[in-house]
Amino acid sequence: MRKSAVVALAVVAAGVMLATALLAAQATARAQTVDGREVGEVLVNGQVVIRLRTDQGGQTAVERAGAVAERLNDAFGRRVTWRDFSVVNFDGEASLKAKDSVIVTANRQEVDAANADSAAALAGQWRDNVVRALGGNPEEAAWDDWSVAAKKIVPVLSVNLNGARVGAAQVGGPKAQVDKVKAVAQLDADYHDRIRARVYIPISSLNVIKLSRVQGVSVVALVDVKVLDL
Amino acid sequence: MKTRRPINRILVYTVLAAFVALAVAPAVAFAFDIGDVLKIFGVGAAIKQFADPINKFINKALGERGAEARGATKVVPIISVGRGGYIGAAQVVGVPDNVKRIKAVVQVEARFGDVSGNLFVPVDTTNPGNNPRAVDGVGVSAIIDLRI
Repeated sequence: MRKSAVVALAVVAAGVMLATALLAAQATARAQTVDGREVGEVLVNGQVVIRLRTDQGGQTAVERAGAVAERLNDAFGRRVTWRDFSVVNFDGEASLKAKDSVIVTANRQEVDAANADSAAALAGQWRDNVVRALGGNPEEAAWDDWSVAAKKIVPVLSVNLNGARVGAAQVGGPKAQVDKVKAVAQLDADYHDRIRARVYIPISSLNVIKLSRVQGVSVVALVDVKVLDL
Repeated sequence: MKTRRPINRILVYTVLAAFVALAVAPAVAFAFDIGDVLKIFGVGAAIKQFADPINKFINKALGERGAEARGATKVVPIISVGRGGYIGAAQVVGVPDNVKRIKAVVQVEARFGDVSGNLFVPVDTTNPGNNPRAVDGVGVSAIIDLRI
């Protein structure tokens, strides 16, 4: 009886290990031709998550995709989850990170080749794709990291008054996101003549015509500064 | 037995009337516009009744400008710590599970020299006391003023 119990336990343990290995995320890379040009694709669990279009640092786009897949597999080996993926901006470039490790960086050449709006937008798209491939929700990913929450005070610019400064606001959220906020756009909207909504949109530029919302950040306080004491 | 019959009848009519009142009440509330609800039932009732349409209205206004927020949104009453009671409404935004927990936003007036302001604290209770604790991952997206 004792021997059979040991055998049963060993079988169960082997089954659990096999199931864990099968369930773990896996990244692969492949060459594809897009618009007559060879690109490197990175796949997670069979879904294309990153497409690299440029040769850089003596590596072809396909070789770079292979290196990115290796970094992703290293990260999966360290049991990162979709919540651990974030985008960090610096000097006009943006990196997709898994916890503290850089997976891939969207630089100017890659942004131009992908015809993306910005490095942050391209890296954000990569992150959303990875999050989805891992079964996560990209909408929540932008809100996850309040463990390093930060706050700062920025001007409030009226959308209805073409960018006129109408006060100041303190915004709060994950530090990486708060760092991007340059101002808060205030949009006034009336509902059935009885309700006035002042909608606050944290933005990454001072342009209130084209609103570039910073996700994951919101208003914590509205500030009035007394300029004159009459 | 004869004396009990009218009482039973009254009981049946009362229960029927209660059912009819319950069935008709929402329709009556929708028949009123938001101004009527504000005047008759007050800010709290108006917010409760119109929270969803106001929430959709704000999200639509943001969507039209390509500035919609990711995550969940919800409209809840604002409770003033200084003045007490409901003083308006706020749209909160954030992690869907945390947004579900939010019952109100507490407004705290603060003054530091020439700088004054209003802090907005999303809370998971309608009775927050004097030291409200914020729910992480949720913030204020819009402040909603109701005109009586």
